[in-house]
Amino acid sequence: MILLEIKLDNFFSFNNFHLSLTYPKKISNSTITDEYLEDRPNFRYKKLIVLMGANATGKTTLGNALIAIFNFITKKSIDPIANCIDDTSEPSSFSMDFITHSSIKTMYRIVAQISPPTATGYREEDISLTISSTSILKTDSYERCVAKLRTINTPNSTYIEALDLIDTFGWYFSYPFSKDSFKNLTPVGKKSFRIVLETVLRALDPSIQGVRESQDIENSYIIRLNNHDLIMKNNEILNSEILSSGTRSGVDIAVMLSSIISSLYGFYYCDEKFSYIHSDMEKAILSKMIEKLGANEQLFFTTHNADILDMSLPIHSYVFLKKEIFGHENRISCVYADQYLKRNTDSLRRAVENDIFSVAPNVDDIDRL
Amino acid sequence: MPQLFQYYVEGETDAVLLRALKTDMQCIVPGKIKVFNAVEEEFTRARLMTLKHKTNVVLLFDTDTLNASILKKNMKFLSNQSMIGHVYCLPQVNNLEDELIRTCNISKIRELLSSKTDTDFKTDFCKCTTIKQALERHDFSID
Repeated sequence: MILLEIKLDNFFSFNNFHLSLTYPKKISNSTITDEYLEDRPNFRYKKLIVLMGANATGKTTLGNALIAIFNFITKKSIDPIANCIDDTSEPSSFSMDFITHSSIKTMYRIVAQISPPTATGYREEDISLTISSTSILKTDSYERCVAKLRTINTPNSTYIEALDLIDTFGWYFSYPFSKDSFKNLTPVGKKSFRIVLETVLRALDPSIQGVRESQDIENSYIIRLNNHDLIMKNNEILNSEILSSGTRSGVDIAVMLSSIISSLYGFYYCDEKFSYIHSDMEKAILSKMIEKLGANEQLFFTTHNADILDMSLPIHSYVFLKKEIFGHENRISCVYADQYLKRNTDSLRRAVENDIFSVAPNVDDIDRL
Repeated sequence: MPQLFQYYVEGETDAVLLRALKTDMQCIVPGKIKVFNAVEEEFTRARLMTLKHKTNVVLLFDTDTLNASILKKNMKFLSNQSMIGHVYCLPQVNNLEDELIRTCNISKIRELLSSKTDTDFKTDFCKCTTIKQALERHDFSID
């Protein structure tokens, strides 16, 4: 799954929200190689999106909105998106341009208009769905494909019939407080998982001697630490209090990294998983995630760590979410670093320190306390 | 490497204007903006702790006050702090509204956002989502 553009209105706290995930010009000497659709070098999409912003600007909520839309498309149920609508007395809408992992030569656009429910809950007739698609030819760019989009569902089709026209796709979201299970990993994924888990945990805590798969208990690993054996079943480590917070969060990170190494899902949303982890370690693991990200895959990475700004990544990878309050109205918008910093030599770190994008949190009230 | 700047402005309206000038119009030196009335309040070391070494401070204040003693004290205090580079003063003559009238093609402040009265202006300004467009519509000039 590759997300190319998303628009949300009356969706959680997003109103007239627009996030673009393509970039217009080829970047020479980019550290992210092949940042385009496989065999279609003019079709440039952002493989990595480093999503930053103050607290409560929507980084996690954006992930929730995406999960809801993905579930709506794949499960063909209105419930996931009905739960996202902020003001049910007002119309709501979303639009998404994307490519599925199983059909990379087709670009889709889904546009959904959801009317306020006439009964107690949302029903099939409350949603109007338009699905457009186009073939992506060898020389096509995203912009050219947008111009070629043609509606493929009939006007009278139900949303379920319309969604049947879209190929299936996978995704993986990991949140700060989620406990990520390795149960879904394939045999290949599981093999790499033990190695990745051991490597990550030992990097986080050198006193960890090793990790082995349990022969006696299904879906379990044994973590050897200071001559103690810790049992990890599913994602629960028994007696985990002897591990540091950072080491414990290493398990989720290992699941994410293994999934990327095994190309398990194609679309990854890694949301603030490094709060307890040293900055150098966060940078090293993000670098590894980027290196292992396969063709036609995409990684969202949210963080508050300003050191990530110093990494040698394309400027277009950095997107900031900004929440502004206008009277009683909140507005969340995206600020693209490459719209302000045109030269690769411009210091993104210094730009953020000088708050060029006006995305710094407001600390005035704290100062006045 | 560009220098670091920290603006201290009198009120939220000034902060809203500076953010528009900095981000939307890119016509002032960028820097973080905090609301702090340097004419009425005294700086403390604790307030400056978050500043990085050699941060330049810009004080934006109105000149419609009779007493400048605290401002002078603040300038002296800031100049003696090791983390401060230079201290710049941006006096508004006499206040934000007068500066906007001077820099835009308007005779009354209410004209900028078509406010009902001059006193409604500040509220309207803080609620406005299109400050750049409003300023450009009234021939705003940074010079």
